[in-house]
Amino acid sequence: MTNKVPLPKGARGKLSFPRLSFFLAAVLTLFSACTTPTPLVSRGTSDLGIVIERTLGRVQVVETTHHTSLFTVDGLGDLSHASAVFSRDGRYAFIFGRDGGLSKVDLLSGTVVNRIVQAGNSIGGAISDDGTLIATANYDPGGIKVFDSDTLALVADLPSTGDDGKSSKVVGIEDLPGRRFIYSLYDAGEVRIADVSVAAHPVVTRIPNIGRLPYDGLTTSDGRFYIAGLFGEDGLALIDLWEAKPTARRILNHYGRGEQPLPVYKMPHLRTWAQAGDLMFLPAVGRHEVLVVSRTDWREVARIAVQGQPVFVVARPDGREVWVNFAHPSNDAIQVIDVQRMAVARTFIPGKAVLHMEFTPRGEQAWVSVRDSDQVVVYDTRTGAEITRLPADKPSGILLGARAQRMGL
Amino acid sequence: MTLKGGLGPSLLPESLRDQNETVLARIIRDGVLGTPMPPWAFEISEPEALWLVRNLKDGLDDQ
Repeated sequence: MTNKVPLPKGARGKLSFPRLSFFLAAVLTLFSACTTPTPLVSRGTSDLGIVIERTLGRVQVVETTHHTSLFTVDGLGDLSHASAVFSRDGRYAFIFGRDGGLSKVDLLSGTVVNRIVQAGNSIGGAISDDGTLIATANYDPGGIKVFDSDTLALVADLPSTGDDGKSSKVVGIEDLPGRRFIYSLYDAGEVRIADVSVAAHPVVTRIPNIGRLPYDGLTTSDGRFYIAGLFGEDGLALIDLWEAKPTARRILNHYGRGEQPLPVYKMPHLRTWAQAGDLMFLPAVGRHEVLVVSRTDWREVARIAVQGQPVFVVARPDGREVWVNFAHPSNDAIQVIDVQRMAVARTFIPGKAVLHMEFTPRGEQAWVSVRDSDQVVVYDTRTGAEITRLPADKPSGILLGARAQRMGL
Repeated sequence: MTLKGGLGPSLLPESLRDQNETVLARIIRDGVLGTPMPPWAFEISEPEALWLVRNLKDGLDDQ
């Protein structure tokens, strides 16, 4: 390593004291540069993200400015159905694996800085509003666990035992303001709010009888409403978190109108950015429809016919379009709903098994993972043109670091 | 895949050992009403379902 120390202007001849101290400081800087690890690159993090390569237990670190892959990071366990949240400085991804693994990955160096296995079977997690706590939602043994985001040390272990004494699978975990987390109990049909503002004394509030088999949940981007999708009923549960004593009420009740539901070959997912203006776009279960509900009075506004069972229903950040992908056997397609016309405006066929879509924060790009084509496709959302295709091994989730700045992701 | 189950039960050999092959094959083809298990009869034949069940019972080599 070479490093030329420029002489201060006008400093010539003998080593004057200022010049000597400058020289010493330079030597010290050089010394420390040689003995401590140096960051690989000096750059910001707001255009970084990860692509999950589910079968290899690996992620790619990508950047959305030049649409390139920067690193691959191995050793993350079973990443089928993996998801992630980001530290508030955008530097670290906390990756939740199906096998209960929780890995903290440094996006700037492409390294795993910490990893624990915290459960036998896990479905995802959330990060607290202040970035200090990571919470995981677990199937086996159920319950949620809360960890210190610096050290991944356990802070709280909150079981999901229902009134029948049985442990429930936990789904739909989201962060709420004030170091709180909200989540649904699949088996017990209940929502709980864990207030971890005093870490040593977590307080859990129960909201029972929300409906049968909640499969996922979302909070609106302002953190006011929590919606749980119900697999066991024609409807969704809505909770207004601004009420003094929040309770659940049913919205879009009987949207199936008593008809025999169609089989569901992949569970839908609910997403915080299902909101476009004052409207929320939600996947119907067992219907080839996207349900549109008004955020003002929670009445059904429209239902939009699509070509299969919707899985992800995601509004472009400007709310002008809503992109939808589908369960098998329609999973080669993405349909784009024009919110002005309330109808499908175009259909993309990115390839075999479209698993996930993620918009850049201003919505000019959509990143799409196509598992069985082993590709990530980047679209220009204005023109619909492909910007690039990146090779990836069985890609599933694409999660961009801009999520760090949003509630409920 | 861990085959340890998600919303549904585990598909590992020890969980399936005591289960009847024909019944399991019927579950694959007909699904289980009221649960997330959908019917696969539209693209999985009876011999194929039995083949799947036997392979699951023997244990799949994930790699």
